[in-house]
Amino acid sequence: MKKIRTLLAFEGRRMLTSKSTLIYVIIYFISYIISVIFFQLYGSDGSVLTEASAQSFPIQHLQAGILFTGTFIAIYVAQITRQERTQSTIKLILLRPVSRLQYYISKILSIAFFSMLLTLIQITVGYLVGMLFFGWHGTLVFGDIVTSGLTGVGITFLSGVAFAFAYFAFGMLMMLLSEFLPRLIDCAAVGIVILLIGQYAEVLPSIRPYVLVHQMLFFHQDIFEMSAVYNLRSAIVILAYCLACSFAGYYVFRHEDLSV
Amino acid sequence: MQPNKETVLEVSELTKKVDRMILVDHLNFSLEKGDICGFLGENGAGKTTTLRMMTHLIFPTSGDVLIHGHSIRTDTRAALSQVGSIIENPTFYLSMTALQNLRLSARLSDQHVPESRMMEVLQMVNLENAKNQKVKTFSLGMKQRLGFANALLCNPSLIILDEPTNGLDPIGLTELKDMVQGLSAQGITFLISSHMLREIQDICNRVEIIHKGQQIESGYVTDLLNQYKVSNMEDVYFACMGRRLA
Repeated sequence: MKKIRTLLAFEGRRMLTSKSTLIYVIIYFISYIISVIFFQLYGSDGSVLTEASAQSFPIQHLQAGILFTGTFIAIYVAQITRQERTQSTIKLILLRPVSRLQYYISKILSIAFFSMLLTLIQITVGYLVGMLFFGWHGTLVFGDIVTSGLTGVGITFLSGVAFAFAYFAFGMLMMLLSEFLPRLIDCAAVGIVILLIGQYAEVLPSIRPYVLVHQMLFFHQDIFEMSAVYNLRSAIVILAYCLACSFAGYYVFRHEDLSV
Repeated sequence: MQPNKETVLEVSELTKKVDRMILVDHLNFSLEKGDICGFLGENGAGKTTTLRMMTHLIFPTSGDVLIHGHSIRTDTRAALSQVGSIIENPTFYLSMTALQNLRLSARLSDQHVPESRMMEVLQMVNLENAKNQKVKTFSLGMKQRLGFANALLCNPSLIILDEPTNGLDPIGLTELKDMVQGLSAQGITFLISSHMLREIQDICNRVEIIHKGQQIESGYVTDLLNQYKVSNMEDVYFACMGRRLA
């Protein structure tokens, strides 16, 4: 456990102090400002916003950021896996008495934390931009939910947790795929392709609940709108992706010759 | 005749095949406490592949490596806890300082490594003034020395060095030799791979020579020089190759 904690603390520090994270914050900030401009020009027809209020701003933008957020996760996963091979820094860790299982678990936990961090960044930047342009007045409108104040904040963060869970599963899928992709850019490209193609599953009602991209788009919304049984199935689907990808990824990694 | 000493490293029928190529072919040798063994061979002989198997970076096709009796295949943690190593090039996180890299490495060991030990190893390799410099500003020679400091960090009983003379100037080479021989006198065992036969001859007391993955000669340096009636390991190597081709 001590070594997993050490590796996790190391990844956490890297995550919080890296230029990439700062770039992601800036990208979200700029995209949200663009959304505000389009809302002010064209109303809700030109933006994902339906309510000009800081209370609604973050939750209404979560889904819209799927390409950004998914790509950032694909890049992060590639940085902590594939790049460690190409730069050979994995040697610094595995030449110590650290098992491959400990190493892999630390990466899984790092991806989980990164998913939560990205979600927190989106929510925080969303509140910031919302406050700058619309102020706190008004209500939170999200699907059939209309509320305000602390209840709205609670719903936003609950939605964020569901959102982070689905994106964590995507991160696990990317970690499995990174075992087979030679470079960081390949991982990012494959991640984008999966996100684009996965959205077409929406035209097939029978399979879409089992497609991860559908859960990334809607799970954070369905937890408020759909039945408990439906949401339980969705949660199981996401969990199944997490488990299948993590076990498969570990199996490959455990038997991999690291000629670094 | 050498007196009986504790066996630190035992390589037994170690083999690595990839597709149909045999990279390492049934290697057998052992090292005793305090040995400084040169693991010699030309480029592509299988030296680094062997060292990677010893440190569990890659998996043997067959055979085993025992470090203080612990199998690298089945008891990896216990085996690696007594090893410090540089495999191919020493690599560090470039955005972190020398000391931060050593700190991370120390925290991943099985023992408590105090800050004083980190400073001690940096002083041993003359990097104490660069401890707060980011590794991306280091020259190749400085990275090599930091790699050596990292290998010494956890007081290992076996140190595996892969081409440690890369990037070292003549002063650095002399310092390396003095350090290795000083530590060997304290009971630390070294396995040093190189294709620079003359340089290694000055450092090592015994050698294992491989060619195309196969062991072609082994023994103590003085014994081999007498056996082949030559004055340097290059001539021993060529004599082995000549005998092999004959």
